[in-house]
Amino acid sequence: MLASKNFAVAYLILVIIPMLGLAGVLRSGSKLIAPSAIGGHWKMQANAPSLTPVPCAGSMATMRDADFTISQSGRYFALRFANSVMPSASGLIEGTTIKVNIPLPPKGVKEVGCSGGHVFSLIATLDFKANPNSMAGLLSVNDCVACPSAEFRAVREQ
Amino acid sequence: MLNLFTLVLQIALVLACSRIVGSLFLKVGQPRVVGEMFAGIMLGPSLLGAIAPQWSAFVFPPSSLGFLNALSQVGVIVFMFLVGLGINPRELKSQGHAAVLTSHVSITAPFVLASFLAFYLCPRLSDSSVPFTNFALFMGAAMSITAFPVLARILAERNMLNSRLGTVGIACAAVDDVTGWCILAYIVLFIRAGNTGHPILFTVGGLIAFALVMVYGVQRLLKRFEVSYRQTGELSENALALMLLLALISALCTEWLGIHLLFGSFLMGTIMPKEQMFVRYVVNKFETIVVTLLLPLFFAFTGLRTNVGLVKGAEMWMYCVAIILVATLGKLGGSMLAGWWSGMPAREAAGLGTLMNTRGLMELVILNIGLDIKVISPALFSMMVLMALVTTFMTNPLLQAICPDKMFRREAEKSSRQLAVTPLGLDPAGD
Repeated sequence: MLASKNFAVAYLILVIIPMLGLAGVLRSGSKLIAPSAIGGHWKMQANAPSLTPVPCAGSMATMRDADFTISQSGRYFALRFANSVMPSASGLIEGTTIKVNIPLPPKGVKEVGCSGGHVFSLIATLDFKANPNSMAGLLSVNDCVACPSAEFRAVREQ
Repeated sequence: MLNLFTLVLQIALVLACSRIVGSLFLKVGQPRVVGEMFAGIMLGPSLLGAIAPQWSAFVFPPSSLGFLNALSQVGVIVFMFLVGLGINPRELKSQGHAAVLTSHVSITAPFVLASFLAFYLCPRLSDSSVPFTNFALFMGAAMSITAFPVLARILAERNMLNSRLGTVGIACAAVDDVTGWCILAYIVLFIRAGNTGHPILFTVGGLIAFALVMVYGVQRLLKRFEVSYRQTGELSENALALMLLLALISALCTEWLGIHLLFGSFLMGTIMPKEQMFVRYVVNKFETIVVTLLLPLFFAFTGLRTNVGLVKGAEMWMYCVAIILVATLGKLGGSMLAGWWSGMPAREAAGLGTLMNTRGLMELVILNIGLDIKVISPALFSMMVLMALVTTFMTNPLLQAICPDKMFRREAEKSSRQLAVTPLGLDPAGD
């Protein structure tokens, strides 16, 4: 069905040349820069003891010393707290900064002076030079003037 | 700790769902396996977890999934042994240049296109912990795989096994799967090299030695199974247990050497005797429990890891569509072009491309390995699972449109006079 000469030509065009293309792609691809890897288990140390007297801080206090897991897909990631009081949330990584909005849990909404509809904002800068990797940033409640912000630090578990 | 109530509840639910959805898919002309894959996704966070999170958390608590996974992996180990058993290297040799060209193009075309797509997707869906070479090679391997068992089942259902299209398709799918698994072994080997505690040279040397012992030593001993079967027309329970034991030992060897359990069981299957009646007998002995119970558990476990919710927003859906298009263009287009170049009529070549584009269960096995070794991200995993579903789902209707039954009626009548044996001994009713 396929003469030897025709087979050789077809094989060259359909197999060997594309394989050379593959080698070229693999070579050029090594220069690509993908988002920094942040996936895994993190241990948070939030500076929140002074938060309890203020509205919404009850919810924030639950985040103190909370462990969380990040499941990363490129620039996007899902953050899930181990204590399951806080809902999981999606975030974005830009360079060494991560941003994630976490909907306020129902418990927090019931607090006096803390109306519903608030969302926690977590913004942090990653430090990949530290061993283990760490992040430091600010936890705040969006659109809530009375709600304070809390600094936090989290360390990646290896 | 093992909660037996939860585990049995999970198994019961998975079994019921997979049988119901599988039967519904059979009614609309799809292989049951596609319905079972779909049922698995329904039980995961994409549907059950989204509409009834409390129920989902009750039936599938994260702490219980390890047991479900362990059971499903045992099923996949035996399944890969059966897939290897169905692959006969002599089939390719008998097909000549046409099959060699088609099989090689059906690997290189999706592979090269996938690597181009990987170039685009790597900065968007991967991260700095995954070297681009591993990412691109994995994408290539995942896109170039063909679901050998599903393809065999479709050909058997349509009485096309003995047609030119059927024989070339079977031979190409066998080559694609062996090549795909070799590439995957290479990727797994390098990714896991640092974690196993063995130096890479030990792993490579060990694998070569293991393969040589299997092919030139163990293979000869395995012929005794076939001799025993020929003498009595059956195998004793001890012989079947020994066969299973050998597959498990082989799986343990490859796992210990630093690649995956599945490579060992697949290799054991490929070096088994290939006499058709013997293959059919062995497959019949093992297939029922694997296909009806253990594989649906694997689909459910895969479904529990698949979160279509991660594919959100126009951008993510665009990536997903791009993956499906590239996978289809590479596999269907590449195989069709090679088939046509080899002298097949255009329609038949298009039919061959359609068959080769079936990915099914084999794709899910590879994707799960990719997620385990973290070469692909959860969102990309979900997109690739959707791609596997779409490409497998499209096979039957597309094949019917391109190559209607009447095209192969004469060949089917001829072949029906011969003994029809599918490479996996699967029931042609797809049930």
